[in-house]
Amino acid sequence: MASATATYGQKESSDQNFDYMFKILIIGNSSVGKTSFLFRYADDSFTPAFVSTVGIDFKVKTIYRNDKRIKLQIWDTAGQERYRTITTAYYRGAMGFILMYDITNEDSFNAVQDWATQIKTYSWDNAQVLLVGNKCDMDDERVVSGDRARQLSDHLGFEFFEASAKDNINVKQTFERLVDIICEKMSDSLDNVDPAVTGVKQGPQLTEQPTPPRQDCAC
Amino acid sequence: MDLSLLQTLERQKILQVLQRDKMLRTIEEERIRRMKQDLQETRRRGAKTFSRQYSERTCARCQRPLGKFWNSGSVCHGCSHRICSRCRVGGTSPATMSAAEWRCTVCHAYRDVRVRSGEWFLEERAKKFPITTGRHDTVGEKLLKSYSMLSNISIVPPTPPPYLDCPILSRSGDSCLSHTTFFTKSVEDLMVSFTSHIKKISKSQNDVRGDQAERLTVGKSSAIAYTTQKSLSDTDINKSLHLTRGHSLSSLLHWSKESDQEGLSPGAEEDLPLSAFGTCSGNRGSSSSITDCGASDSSPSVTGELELALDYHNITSCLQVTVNGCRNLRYADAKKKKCNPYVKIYLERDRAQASKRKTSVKRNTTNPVYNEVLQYQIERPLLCASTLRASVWHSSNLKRKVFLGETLIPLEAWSFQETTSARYPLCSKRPMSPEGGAVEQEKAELRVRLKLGPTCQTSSISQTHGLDIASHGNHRLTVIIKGAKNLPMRANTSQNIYVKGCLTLSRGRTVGSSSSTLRKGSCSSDPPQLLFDGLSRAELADCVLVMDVWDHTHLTLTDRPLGGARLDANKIGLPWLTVLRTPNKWYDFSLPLVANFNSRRT
Repeated sequence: MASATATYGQKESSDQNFDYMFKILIIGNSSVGKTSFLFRYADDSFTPAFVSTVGIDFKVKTIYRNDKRIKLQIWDTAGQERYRTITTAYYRGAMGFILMYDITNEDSFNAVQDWATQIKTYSWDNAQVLLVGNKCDMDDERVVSGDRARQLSDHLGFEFFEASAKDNINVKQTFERLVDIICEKMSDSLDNVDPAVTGVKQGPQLTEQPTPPRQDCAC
Repeated sequence: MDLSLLQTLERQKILQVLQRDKMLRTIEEERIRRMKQDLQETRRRGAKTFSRQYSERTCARCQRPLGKFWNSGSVCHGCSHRICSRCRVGGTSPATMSAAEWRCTVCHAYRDVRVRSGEWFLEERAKKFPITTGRHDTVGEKLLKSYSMLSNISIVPPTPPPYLDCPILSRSGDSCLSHTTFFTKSVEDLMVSFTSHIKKISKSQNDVRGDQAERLTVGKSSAIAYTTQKSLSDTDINKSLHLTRGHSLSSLLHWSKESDQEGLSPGAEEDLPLSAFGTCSGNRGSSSSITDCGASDSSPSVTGELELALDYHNITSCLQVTVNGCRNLRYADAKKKKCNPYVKIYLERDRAQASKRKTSVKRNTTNPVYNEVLQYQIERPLLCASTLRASVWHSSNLKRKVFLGETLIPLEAWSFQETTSARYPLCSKRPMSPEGGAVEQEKAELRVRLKLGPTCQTSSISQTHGLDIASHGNHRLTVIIKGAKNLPMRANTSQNIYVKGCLTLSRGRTVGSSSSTLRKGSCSSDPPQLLFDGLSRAELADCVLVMDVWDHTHLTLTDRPLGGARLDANKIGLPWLTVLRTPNKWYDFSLPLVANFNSRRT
């Protein structure tokens, strides 16, 4: 992973000094720690008290990554079923997802499949999803093993992290990885579209050397 | 904790989030717009396009000539143009400058904009969800729209429900409590409608029309939900007016037998539309000249005479009016000795436009000679019931017409054999003789609907002006201005009419209120009304309600009075007292408008 430093203090949503804007959605069962995860990332704060999110909320954070300033609008959704109609409406605008479960809560893990289906249904085809097992600081109460989660994530084609909002484990990494894979998708999308848009004529120069495989975000 | 209250807070919280999102998107759109502008600029500068012919051996971007061997340029991977080495972007070193690594400046800028604006994502997404409506018309936007629509409704309840006499449900009886709960409910309705809305969206994502239809339904359903809660839609109000009309009409008829006739002409104009403000006043073409009675009062005395000849042909049913001329007319402008008279005649059974005939205008004379024949096709029995009204007017191009005099010829008395011309003295404008039957229509009237009801002292929707509500009684008098007719319209009347009301109470206290403007022809669902708050029963015992109709003029600074009406508990008799005695019932009045404003107490 490319080295990058997230810059703090650029939280004003009116800040226009950025290159891209990505929209990310955090989903998962109720009380798995979505809001805590977001607060840890955006504000570097944590409160153990549980406050159920009302419908939807979002935070804005600008990070510096791959020489680009990327503004993230991170949507935090309510896990409760009664808000489902509102939250699913926001799937469509999201470029990437963080699908979260609680490693101490079997139900939340079992629901992952359902959440993945929701993403398939309501989001675009190239939706980038990271599976995150939260609360990995509570290892003694763990009911979902890392292996099971890894198996499931392989099956679903998602990347997998275990993280802890409380102890600030893997929080930043999760978001940065998601940004990276969105960037990859972006350059893929651009490279695919470019010829179609501009009607490329294959010049001799093009055939001389094969295109080197792209390894990182081409931003 | 009250659950419904909690839900209200929830709704508010969500809508706040949506609002924040909207702000963010607005900023983002602005950024993208500027970016695309820059791209256009870059494109313009990169002169070579597909459409333009150019020699193979120049750079497509900077038009520098390219050599055969040295600096020969290479084809851009994006646009297939041959580009010199200077106009390339990307590719770190000359050694690795393979075709895939670089783009020409324009391709690079285009690509850059697509990346930076997130357009790549929208394009990708469009593969699955074809872009239907506006790209930025997101769900949040729709919710905010429907919310703002609803909030408008809930903050300003459109009209009092006239047929609901229950004090809690009626507007004037809005207690604080019922107000809040109804607001809560309306917001809940919003949530119900918008959650179902979203459900529908997600179910029929690819259906544009369905989507739009859904949006319509949101507005509609919320409005309907609201309506059933509290208020009435336009049609409901009309219906309710019809409902009450029967009742109050009959009662008014009943009362008017007992009371003196002053100010009441029940039933005569009940068929007029609600928004009849000014619509009955005069006729379209020359309303200025017909009803210009106000001016004639103060004008110098009318002089002169008009010479006419009448002839009726039984076979053709044709009345011929030969206007010979006038003599000794007064000057329309006495100082400048100006007079351009013409004669206008009406065959009056009604004031229908069709019966108007005019002669030509003779310039600068007080003794015009016309010798013009004006004809009417009319059956003899009808003719006998008619009156010929012939009036002389001064015409000037820009100013309003000036009345010079008129004469009335009742045709009942006319013997049909008498076809020689006769001279009729002109007199000042006057209503038709009782036989003509047109007097009633001339009268300017103000039609109002009154209700006395209890009021909430802390009501947030009070529209009273400059009143101390708290210290007095707890009754509110609501006056809905239904319309006015036969208003003295002038040439430059804007016909934006409003009513100022002044209620003088028994202890000498006066309460004022002013209605909103009623424009002619607007079918307003929200008829202008006057509200008088903080009245006590004792004070109302012998109160006087004076209502002045004003013409809200745009050009002049001061509004112009059109007439005043008066409801006096001591004079008008039973109906007005009944309003005061039986609260929560609507009563209709047709009040004569008097031009004299001195009666108004301020």
